[in-house]
Amino acid sequence: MNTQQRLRVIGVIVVVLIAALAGRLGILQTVESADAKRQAARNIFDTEPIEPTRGRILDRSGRVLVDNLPLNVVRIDRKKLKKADRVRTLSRLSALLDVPYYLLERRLDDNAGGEFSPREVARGVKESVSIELAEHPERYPGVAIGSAWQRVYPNGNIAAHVLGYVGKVTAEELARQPLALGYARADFIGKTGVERAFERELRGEPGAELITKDRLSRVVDREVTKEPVPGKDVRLTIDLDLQKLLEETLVQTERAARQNVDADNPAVFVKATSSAGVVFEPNTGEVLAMASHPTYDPREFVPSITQERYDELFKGEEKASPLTNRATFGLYPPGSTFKPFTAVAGLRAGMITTQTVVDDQGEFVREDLCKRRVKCRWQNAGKAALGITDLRKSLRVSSDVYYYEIGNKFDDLSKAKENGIQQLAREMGLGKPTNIRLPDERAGAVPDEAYRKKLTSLYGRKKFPNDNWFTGDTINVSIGQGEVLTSPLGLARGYATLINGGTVVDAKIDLEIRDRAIGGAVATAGDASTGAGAKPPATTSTLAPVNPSTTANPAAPTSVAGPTVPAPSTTTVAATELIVGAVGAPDLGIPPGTTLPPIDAKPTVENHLDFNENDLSVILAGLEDVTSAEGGTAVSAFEGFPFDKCRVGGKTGTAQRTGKQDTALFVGFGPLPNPKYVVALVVEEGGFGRQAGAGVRRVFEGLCGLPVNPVRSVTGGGAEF
Amino acid sequence: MAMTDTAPRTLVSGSVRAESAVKRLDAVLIAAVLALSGIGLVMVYAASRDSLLAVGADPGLYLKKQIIFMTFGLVAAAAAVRLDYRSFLERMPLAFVVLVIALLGLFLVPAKNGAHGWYQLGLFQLQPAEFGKIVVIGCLAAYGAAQRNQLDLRRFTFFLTIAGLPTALVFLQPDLGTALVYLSIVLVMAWLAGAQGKHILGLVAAGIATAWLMIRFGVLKEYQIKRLTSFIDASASAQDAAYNVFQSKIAIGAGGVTGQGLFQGTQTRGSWVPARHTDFIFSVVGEQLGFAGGILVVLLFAIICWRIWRAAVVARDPEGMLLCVGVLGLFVFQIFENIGMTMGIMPVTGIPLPFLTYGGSSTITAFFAIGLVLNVAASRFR
Repeated sequence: MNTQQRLRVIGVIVVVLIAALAGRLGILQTVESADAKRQAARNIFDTEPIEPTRGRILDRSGRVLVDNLPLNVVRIDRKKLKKADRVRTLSRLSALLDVPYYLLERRLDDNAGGEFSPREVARGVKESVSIELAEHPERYPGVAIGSAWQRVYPNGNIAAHVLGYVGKVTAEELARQPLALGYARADFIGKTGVERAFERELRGEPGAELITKDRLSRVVDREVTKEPVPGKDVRLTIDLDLQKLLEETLVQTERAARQNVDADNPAVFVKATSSAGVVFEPNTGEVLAMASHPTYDPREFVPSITQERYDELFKGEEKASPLTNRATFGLYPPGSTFKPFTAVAGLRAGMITTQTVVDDQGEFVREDLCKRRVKCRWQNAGKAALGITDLRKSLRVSSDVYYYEIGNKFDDLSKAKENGIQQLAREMGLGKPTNIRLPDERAGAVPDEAYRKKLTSLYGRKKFPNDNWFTGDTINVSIGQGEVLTSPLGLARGYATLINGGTVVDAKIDLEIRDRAIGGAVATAGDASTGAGAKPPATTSTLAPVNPSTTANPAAPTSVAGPTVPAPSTTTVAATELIVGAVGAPDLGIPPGTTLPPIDAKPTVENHLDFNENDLSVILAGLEDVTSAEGGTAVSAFEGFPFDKCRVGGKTGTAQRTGKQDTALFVGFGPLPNPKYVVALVVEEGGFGRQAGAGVRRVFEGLCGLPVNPVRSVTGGGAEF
Repeated sequence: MAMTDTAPRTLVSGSVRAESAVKRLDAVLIAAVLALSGIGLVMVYAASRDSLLAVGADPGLYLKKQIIFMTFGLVAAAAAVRLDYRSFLERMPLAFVVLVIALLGLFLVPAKNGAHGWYQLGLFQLQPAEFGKIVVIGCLAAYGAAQRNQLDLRRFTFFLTIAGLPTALVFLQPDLGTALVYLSIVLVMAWLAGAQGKHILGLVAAGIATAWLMIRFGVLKEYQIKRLTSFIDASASAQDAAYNVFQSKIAIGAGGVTGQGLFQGTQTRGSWVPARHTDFIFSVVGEQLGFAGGILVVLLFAIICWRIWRAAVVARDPEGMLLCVGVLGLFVFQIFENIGMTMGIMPVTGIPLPFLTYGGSSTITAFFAIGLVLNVAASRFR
């Protein structure tokens, strides 16, 4: 090859190389250009969610039960933290935040719930930390400061079971939620109580922010592309003062009960392990207070709780599951508190009249069963012989024999089952959910043959071997034993049905869902239509004490008005006005002078029964005797109660439970003649029902504006139950 | 082509001859170089003003310094045009000694950024390896012309040894990129000097084997290996060299056909692409001026290469031809490696792009090299 040829070879190589450059340039800037543009945008733009402010939870007069505290959080985006920088960055952060290195690492590597969203490694950091992070992003690659909120409880652990708590959304919840809800793994979600039931309303909608950054992650520009929609406030039916009163009362009742000895074994004291109570508005279904004891402090869950702490607080038999809301989730045999329902069933079936008398010799015997060598004797507690007993007396002295007779009649009349005790109890709402908007309600049960067969088929013969209904079973049901189960709330609702003239209303925990932004002159729109009763409660700092002779509110919707009971008041505001008790300047969550919008208080009606007015009045009279007439089972509990100012009736219940001490129950209602409140109180292993009555008495002292006394230990009375 | 010119030579030719030479200068080459230099100045400014502003410095600082460098470059080019390149080649042994001493002396100054690359002279930095490119070309041209077409293995080895000493010293700085430039110069000039194909192939094979051994026994630093292999899969990780190439490709791609506009473009303005006014200046061209600007730059380089190649073809003596081919090898390798690197088809090495990259030594060297080519091309009329 001569020189000229060699030069030509060089020339060809040069042409090829330059053509390659031109070709590559052309491809890069045409075909691959769109992709590169996207990449370039991804480099500098970042979309960050803006957490919406969670709605608050207010009591019925607008006092804040759960509020938000805005705070700064530190998050690490693992995509942007290079491996090489990891140790250095975490060490620096550890020193800056004063958080141990291993903890930061654990939080950073927590993979539950998705791999890609930034990890929150610290919250509530000091302003100096925020400044350091913002000024020196190069020292903390991938680390960003963000804003968040956390729940605060101005009233401590008051109403913990109603309110519930929030926690970080779990992988399981993320999988279950429809994607549209758009939760990211760092988001908080309501776990229990109102927080969970009203998650949709409380949460609001997250916004989005477009962030422009340079290579060193310095934020060049921020632009809100979507404003977050703050969550709505939920105004509950709960009255803060009443709630406090009820919670104190539960503790006092348990304490008082523990001074009594166990009726079955005088060598031991009553355990009174736990208790629950409900204050229920019988016409509207509003839950004015609801408590469960032992309780917990929702602040333990802020911002989150460790497994160790959780176990320490809540695990173990002796802790009696403090997270359980026993008012809705606890199921108890109602015992003698069930008797009015048996009575109504007997009356409706024509088996008894209000005049029917039974000679109570302390025992009911079925000779035919004795011959068959099965259970044939049913006794009063302590085998007390109560003598000639009519319906009214049967309630006052709580004669079992009277109700055994009714139960026995239904037992004989196997063909009349559809008209039986169980049927009636269910029609009045027992054994059915109250449909309260809380996540943890259990319906309870009113057993019959079909019920047993269902259990056996559902859970197997091993667990439920007994799928037949035997002679004698109905006798047990007649006094609220034998598998009859109800929650305290369900029991209160059952009594409400009796008291309001036969209307089964759904229980209600929320009065109103309101936009937080709405202040000032909102309420004017609907004011006229709600009538005179709609006086804004938030503007009155002291609530008027109850007047037993309050005339009914004329603005009652017709759907609720029972035929035998005078028209009940249904405007909740009117109900609020009646709530008194532990006063104290309301800590208003809404600006003073704000008019709360009127509430559509129309209850959700499940069923309506027509009671005979005379029959009902006899039953109510019998129940009023329980507290206030000679021989009433709760007279000792109500000793000295000013019935002239506030007439209260009720029923004791002392329910037997295998392997446990008796459950003490009391359901009270008042003020008569037009009760505005039903108060149900249950003490597990609490002994006699009258002790629960002593607790209910204290709640009525508050409800009726009377001096509130401590709950006394009710001793004596022997055979009463 | 006269092979035996015995006339006495002086380094600078007479003024009368110079005047006539100016008229014979390659206008196309000069125009292309000046056009590229103009683009280079604008791009240096576009690439550096944001970072300079960010640290509160004069945004035109690098532009002004580059203007000074180019002025020196023009002076150097003029000098190269005026000298008698054959007497220039005769002085190469002395230049070679000076170069080796200068390269050795670098190891006595403290390393900066881990390399012994330059002497600090006041505000300016002197990079002997840049000027060394000319010396290597000159030495090889002188020896190659003398031993032309008789490069047996012994002579070929000597040919390699001349270039090998400075190349090794540059490699040890360490400056792998410039060492590779030296090697490409050696290859192309050996080829033109008539080296046998098998020797050239053997050299390439030996080079590959050496590279493998160096990697195997850890002579190359890890970052050097990473840089060299990054172009194979630049998007694989967001680490170091590969990450830089990844961002550079995004910048050029985002430029599209018409570019984001001068002084626009998030990639090059937002510091995503590194070394924007030096090694990665073509990324700035690509993003801000698009395919229109990028292809113009490539075309101007093509014209320059073509004119250098043509000068080699028409050179009146082997010395001139070898000089031009050496400069061609120098430019083609730098252009292909640098632009190829920004587009992810070549490994990452710190090689300047002639006339565009900011820098004193490299700019002056490039201009001087063009001056030599102009000189050779004009000398054929003598």
